[in-house]
Amino acid sequence: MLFDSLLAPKYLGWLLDGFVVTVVLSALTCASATALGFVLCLGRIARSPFWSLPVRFFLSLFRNTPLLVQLFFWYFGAAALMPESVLHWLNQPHHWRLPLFGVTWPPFEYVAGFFGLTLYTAAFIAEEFRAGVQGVPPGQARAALALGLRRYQVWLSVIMPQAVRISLPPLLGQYMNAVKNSSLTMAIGLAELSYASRQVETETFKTFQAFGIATLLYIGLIVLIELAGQWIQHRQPAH
Amino acid sequence: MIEIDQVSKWYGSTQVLAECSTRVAKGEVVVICGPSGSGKSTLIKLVNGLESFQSGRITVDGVFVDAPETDLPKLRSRVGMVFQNFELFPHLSVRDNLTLAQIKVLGRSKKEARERGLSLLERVGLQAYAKQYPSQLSGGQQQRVAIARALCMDPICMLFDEPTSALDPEMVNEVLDVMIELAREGMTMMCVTHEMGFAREVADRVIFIDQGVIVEDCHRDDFFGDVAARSERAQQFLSSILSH
Amino acid sequence: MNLDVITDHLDYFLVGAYPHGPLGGAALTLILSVLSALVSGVLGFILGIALAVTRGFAQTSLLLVLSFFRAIPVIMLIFWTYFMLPIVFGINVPGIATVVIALSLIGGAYLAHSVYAGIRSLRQGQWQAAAALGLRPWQVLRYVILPQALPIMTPSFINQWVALIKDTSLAYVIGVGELSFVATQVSNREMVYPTEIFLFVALLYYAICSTLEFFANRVARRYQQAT
Repeated sequence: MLFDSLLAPKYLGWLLDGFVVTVVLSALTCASATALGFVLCLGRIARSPFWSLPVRFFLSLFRNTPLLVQLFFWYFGAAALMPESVLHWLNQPHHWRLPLFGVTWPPFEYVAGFFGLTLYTAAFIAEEFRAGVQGVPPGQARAALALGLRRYQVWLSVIMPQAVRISLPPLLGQYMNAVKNSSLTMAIGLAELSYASRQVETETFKTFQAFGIATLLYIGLIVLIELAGQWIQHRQPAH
Repeated sequence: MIEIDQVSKWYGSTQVLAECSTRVAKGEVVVICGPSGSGKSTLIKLVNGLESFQSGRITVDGVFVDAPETDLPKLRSRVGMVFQNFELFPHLSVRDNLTLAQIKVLGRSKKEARERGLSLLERVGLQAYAKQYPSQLSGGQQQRVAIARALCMDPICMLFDEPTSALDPEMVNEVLDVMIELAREGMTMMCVTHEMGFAREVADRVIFIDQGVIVEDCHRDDFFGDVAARSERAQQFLSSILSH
Repeated sequence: MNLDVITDHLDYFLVGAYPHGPLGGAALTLILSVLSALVSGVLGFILGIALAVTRGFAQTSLLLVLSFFRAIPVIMLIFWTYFMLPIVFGINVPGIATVVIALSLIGGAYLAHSVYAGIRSLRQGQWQAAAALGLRPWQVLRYVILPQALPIMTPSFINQWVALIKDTSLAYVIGVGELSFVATQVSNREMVYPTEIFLFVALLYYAICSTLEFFANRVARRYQQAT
């Protein structure tokens, strides 16, 4: 084996485990941040300041503070705010047996990491969606209204489909950022890829191999998203 | 002054110019016309080296345009060019548009350059606009400034690439008037244009290009007067352009 | 809410152990930000112009190198520079330099694309018109292309620099005593009130980032009006 001479299988296993955590964490983050970002976008573009003002504040605050500090806040700070019983529950292992598979409640750093990443990513995705909505020419809404469509119909069948198409490339960019940003969760002890590479480096002193493999795995993920984006865009009819 | 000899040009595998040859003598005014995509704009951009070509040779005032040892910027500074879309520099005032190349290329002093710029601005009737920015001017005014900008460099000849085709109809004449005056003063000119009135009035020769080939290259009076002697394609083109 | 923990350690948050020890805290964050902004800006300009004037193989290889820096997490690049720089140069590289180099490389890679896009957004005719007047290629860039492309690029420069300020917090992972590092130190020492500490630190970052955004936008607007 080529890798045997480079890194013992045990350490390759560590890196692989870290990679799996990175993939799962990023995927979950992207999915939930897209949903949350969509809702935030609706609030952001709402006419009533009752909705748009707090959302604006939230977006500005989350976009203009470092993710690392946000993660620390959720990991250390939120824990301090929670009632003792909740904290106790979160720190205990839990396992549910469902018909097909079991679900294990993850340790607290996973919950905090996922939560922090999702809020941070959602703040950026919301702005991308908003840019997409604003990218639809205003004449489109007027034309649809002139045809007799109702306001919600205009949104659902005219504005949204165009806005989604416009915001797709920047959305994929945010997904790439989510993958890269997931590396920050190592600071709160989440054993993802960067954390694993650092551990392998400490144990083996094989700096080049440990970071090299991790770097290649990250690049692989980013390239995968890039390719998926190109595939989706090719399927879309040109206009 | 300008000699184009057996010039061919390809974009990849498509040939855009095929063995084109012609010459423009000092003081001569030549109008180049032809259908869109015929290669006429490409041909004129070869003369000052804005586009490259694969075979043949072009000389301007005895200088080989495509020779490696030719100092192209220096050659270009002696050949004035006016573009279809004016291409004034939007971040510079009219005055600075006129002086930029005089100062940076010819090494004139600021004062000298401004005086020269103002006198040419006066000549195209726009001395009041020196401090304005291009976006504050109409299309016709912008194109007149662009002509003045080229003249500031005291060129030995002028190239016009469809100077009026981006203009609203009511502005065409103010630009043509400047060009006619220039022609009458003896400037050597190569003009890609569909303005046949201009060609009739001041052109010495008319060149008709179709599909990269020079189909007609004859005296103005032959081109317009002896229509029956012209090629079929030229006749078609003329009737399509003159019918309205 | 207990704000004593903030007021008690305010100096430490703002300047670290200075003047009795090394400068740290928010002041070090600012220094890291300014240095990385400058270096990444210069790098971005050089590489962006290089992208605009190269063709074929040279351009493709440059694009590949830039993609590499845009594809890897900042933390990985900090690791690389932290461990590889001393090996390559055979000297001890201070943590601050490591962070500035890593952030500048990534920032520069992003900015290069902004500069390239700004240059490309101009019509080909502007290059031709400037060249037709006899200006040399670098004069065309200097006097005609860049002055027009600059206002187009400013928003991405501002965004990138805000991202840079936030990324300086990653200096934490190699123990550089900037604001985030100092915050965890205080939090670990006191063991209580982490909520207050991290909220305060977040607001400090927020103040720095929004101040930059505010002034940069004002400058950009004035610049755009002038042209």
